[in-house]
Order: sequence, then structure tokens, then C-alpha cells
Amino acid sequence: MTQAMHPRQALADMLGRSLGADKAIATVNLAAQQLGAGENLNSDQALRLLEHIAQQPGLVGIAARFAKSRVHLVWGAE
Amino acid sequence: MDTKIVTAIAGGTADEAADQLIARTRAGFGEVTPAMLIAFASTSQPLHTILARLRHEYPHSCVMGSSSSGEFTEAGDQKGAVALFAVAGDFKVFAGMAIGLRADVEKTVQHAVAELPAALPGYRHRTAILLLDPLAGNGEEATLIASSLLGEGVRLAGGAAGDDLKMQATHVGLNDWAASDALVVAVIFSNAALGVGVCHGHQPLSEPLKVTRAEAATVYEIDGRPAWDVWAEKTRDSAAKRNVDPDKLSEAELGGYLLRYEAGLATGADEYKIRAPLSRGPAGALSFACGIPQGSVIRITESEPERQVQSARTAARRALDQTGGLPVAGALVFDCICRNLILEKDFKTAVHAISDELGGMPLAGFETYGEIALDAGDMSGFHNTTTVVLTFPK
Repeated sequence: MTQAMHPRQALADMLGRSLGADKAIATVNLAAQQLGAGENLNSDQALRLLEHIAQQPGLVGIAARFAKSRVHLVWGAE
Repeated sequence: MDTKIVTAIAGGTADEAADQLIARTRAGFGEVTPAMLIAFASTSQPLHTILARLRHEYPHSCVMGSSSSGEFTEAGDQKGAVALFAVAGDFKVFAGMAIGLRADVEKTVQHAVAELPAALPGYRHRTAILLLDPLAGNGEEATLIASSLLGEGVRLAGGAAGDDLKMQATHVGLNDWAASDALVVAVIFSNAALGVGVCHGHQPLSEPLKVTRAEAATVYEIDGRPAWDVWAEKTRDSAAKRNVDPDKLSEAELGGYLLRYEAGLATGADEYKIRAPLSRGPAGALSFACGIPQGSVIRITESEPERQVQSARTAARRALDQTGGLPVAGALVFDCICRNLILEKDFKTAVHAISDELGGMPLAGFETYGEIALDAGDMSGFHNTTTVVLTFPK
């Protein structure tokens, strides 16, 4: 079965609620660059990207781990 | 069993206040045992004394509380007092408390929720109340971790303890134990949903500013300059309208000043997540109630009195919307201290506005250093400058 694709911005939107939009976009873009991720992500790719961000200390890492649970619940069910 | 809520507010020494609160609670409940009692105590009444007295009186109830910076019920607001909210009815309440937030937020929250049941036969809804020490500097972190551990679908509401703007030590407590560097998590099982509403009334005052040096909850530099220098510069004109000069503030006045001018993180078009600076450290660093990552872009915000009243009303309406218009018996209110600072003597107008929206039902709450509201699907739960209203069904 083909997984639904979502724009990378959707992850930034999730993280932006805690980190602010500017920091969230910069964080997601940097992680995508480091992992070679594209503009659109399926749930596995999104989880990998969030796992990468979750390694960061403090609020950034915690917000990414929280976002992972939402991606599991919402994107994983699609 | 119908829901019964008793609220009370009392001053004096801790024992005098406890005597009055217990008398009022006994008069309201008679022989009925409340499921939960929550006390909000000023620094004049040590929290552990208040909780121990309530626990002694109601050994089979969940007794919890926090220190505060102003206390209120539907009857009015006071400083240097204790406000009490007690509820009886078809509720089961379980709570845990842990210390060590500052050193290890993850482990501390895990410890607090470890023995809370995930389900209770015969009860369809779970709602959580969080009370935490904001001076530990990880309010948002603790809220997100608590939400993850409690699971999807558990609404969270709560507040960050105050200390009458001293910014020295804030306490939370459970049963006969109170401590700083701690959090309390209570889970309320019910058959009808509790409603959580949140709203703030702040708007940007400054242009976007970049946090260029920060670590955890401390912002050292903004746009390459000491954080306080930027704060003072950007707020000077606004403060001058109230005859306040940021360069001439005493240490006692500084906390209140910072809580009037808080940081706004852009989260969407014209939407801001507000973050409160609580204190100023060496070299102009500012300490916040939760992490502010380096690289964040903030705007300094402010609010007008009318917007503060309106946002309190909106929070109450949003809580009611969540319960599908079913009648409510009363509400707990977690209200940012900034509203009191902005409204001053007219603060009671905001309290009455909430009570009006709830149909005149009883309410009790305190002036916080941070508010907690997180619904299913939300990606953030720690707020500043807001009113959070938690309604209990009839």
C-alpha cells in the first residue's frame, strides 16, 4: 500500500506551536538537509526526520518527540 | 449524583485561613465527601500548612494546591489570601507528585504519573490538572511530556505556581506535602466531559527580534545584545505612558514589568504563543518559564485592559463550547498575573466576566506565572498571559 505524502511544512507547523514558526522551519529544513529528505514526506520519512530532531536537547527535542506521537496517530492511520 | 461545588476565600494566618475554609466547606457539603479540594495560597499562608489542615479534615479526598500571586472566587479577588475550590459528585480523582523538575523534567513527570490509572470502569472521560513550579524553567516541556504519558484524548488544564511576584520560590503540593521544583498531576475520571477554554489578549509591540544566544530557559542575547537592554529599549515608550521608566525599576518592580511585556512566538498569521520572562540575571539575561531555543524569533507584546476582559470572557465561552452547551456546575480558573497587573483595581471585572459567561456559577482560581491548556490534537500546552477555564459538568 502506498503511504500518503505530506509537505515538510506540516512538520514545521506542528513544532511551531511550541518553538515558534521561524525556529521550527529552520529546524525542520536543517534536519531535512542533513538527512537528504525531500519536500514531501510519507509517515516513515517524517518519523525519521522527527527522530533526528528529537536528539537535540531541551524543548526542541521534547517537542519533536511529542510531534512523533501525533504523526504516529494521525499520519500512520492514513 | 449531582455535582456540588463549594468555593471560598480567606485571609489571616494559615491556620486562621484554614479554619474559615473548612467551616465554609463543611457548611456547603454537609456530610458529603468532596472528590477533590484545590487550594491556592499566597506567600502569607504556607501551602503545606493549608494542605495539611484540609487533608486532616478530608482524609479520603484528593487535596492539592499551589502557591499563588493573587486569589479569587466568583465573589471577588484578594491578595495575601487562600482561595479554595472543592467539588463533589460523580468524579474519581487520582494524583501524583514528584520533585526534580529542574534537573530532569522527563523523569520527574514520569514519576508523578507512574501510579495514575489509565482507565476506570464506568467512567468515560479523563481530564488532567497540572500544577507546576515555573521557576524550574520547563513548563512547556513538562506539559508535553505529561500529555504524551497520559495519552491522546486527555484534556489538560492547570497553572504554574506564583509567589506574589517575589520570583524566589514557587510551590505545589499534594495531600500534606508541598515543595518547589515539583509538579502535581491529577487525573479526573467523569462520565460527562469537562471543558477547557483558553485565550489571551496580547498583541505585538516590537518588530521581530532574533534570540541570538540562549540556553534552556535563559535568553542571554537578542539581536546580539544583552536581552534586557533590548527589552528596555523596545518597551520604553509604552511604559512611559504609565510614567514608568525601565531604567529606574527596583528589583521588586522588575517582575511585574516583565510580566506586562512578554515575548510572542509567531505560530501563524497574527497568532502568537506568549512566553513570560520571569526574572533578570547577570549581564542582562532573562529567565523564562520554559525553554526558548536559540534562533527563535520573538516579538515583545503588550495588551490593553479591554482586551484582557474580552479574552477572559472568550476563554469561558470556549470551555462551554467543549461541553456541547450542557450546563456547568462551576469552574477552576488559571489566570495569568499579567491580567491583574494590567487591570489593577478593575481585575474583578474580568472575574465577573468569566462568571457571567458561566451563568453565575461558582468559580475559584489564582494568578499564575503560566497556564496549561492542551486539548486532543494540540501541539503545545503551556501558555502565558492567558486565562484558562476548566468547567465541571452539572
